Amino acid sequence: MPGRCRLRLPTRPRPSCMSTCPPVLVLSCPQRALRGHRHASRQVCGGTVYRATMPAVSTAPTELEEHDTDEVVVADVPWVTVVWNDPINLMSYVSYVFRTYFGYTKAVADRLMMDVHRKGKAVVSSGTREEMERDVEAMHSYGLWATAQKSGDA
Amino acid sequence: MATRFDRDGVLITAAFTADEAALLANLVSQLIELLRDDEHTRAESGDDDLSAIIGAMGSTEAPADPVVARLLPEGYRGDEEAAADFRRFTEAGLRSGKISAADEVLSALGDASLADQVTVELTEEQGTVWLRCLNDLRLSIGTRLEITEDDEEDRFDRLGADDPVRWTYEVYMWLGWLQESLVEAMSGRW
Repeated sequence: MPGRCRLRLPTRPRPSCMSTCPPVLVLSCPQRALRGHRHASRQVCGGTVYRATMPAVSTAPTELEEHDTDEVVVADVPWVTVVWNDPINLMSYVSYVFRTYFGYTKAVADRLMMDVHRKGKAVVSSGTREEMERDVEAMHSYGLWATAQKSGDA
Repeated sequence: MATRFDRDGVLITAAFTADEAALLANLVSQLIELLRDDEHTRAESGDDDLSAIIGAMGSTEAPADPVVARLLPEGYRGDEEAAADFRRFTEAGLRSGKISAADEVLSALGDASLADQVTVELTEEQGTVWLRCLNDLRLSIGTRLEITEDDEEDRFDRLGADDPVRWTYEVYMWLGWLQESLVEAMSGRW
């Protein structure tokens, strides 16, 4: 199983210092000082209906490659879910999510995961816009970064 | 030293030393605090009727903190309006799902100060919850450490042994090792 991580245990006997060290403030952020800061309210028209006002998706950063759609995408469906590469998620976990959520075989899930890893992204599902938004939301719940876009949008 | 997650019949088990359990509980608590804090801040930002209504529906703007923004990313690229609408309708649910996963992990860890060792036994379903939470922790710490490349070990190896950033990186690596073992234990059926 390919894995990008060369993982190892911490070299220091950790938490023995927990009682004497301050807590690991990994989740603190200078930007939290900005609490209370707000951007100008986004203008929203009364009676706006979700989806009804959405313009056609304009651009995606890069062109979808045709072979990204093999095995997963039915040709005539208009929307796709794209998963983007990131340096933190474990490759084994990404493949696990594809198997668990989409029900893909290990071979398909691994191939999609390697596409994400090597090409920076992969189309992982296709369907209606509503279906893709459900898939995107599910990917976010697993911590993968996914976006919806029109199939074939450049 | 923690045993790795391993499958024991239908259950997936791991044993943590009290210190490891305390560290994990501390991190998970920070994650909950971060998500709740940010939610509170954003809810407060509405100071007129319209934003009160919008606030109740859910925020449309990406969180200012890069960690929260990574945990709750955009659902569209290159289409701000679609991204804002997606966020308005999904962010609250995603946020509460992450908080509830973290709560579940915290509760399974119990009070580490009461024992020398904490053993957790997870069903398949609980294992998924743990996976999501461990992943959220790694996303949070990795984003805070500004990890942008697949392998940045050298950058942290150069830091002094007592540098808190290096220590944080080691915790990050430990969480990766732990998560990897859980993925493997959960992948038995494939």
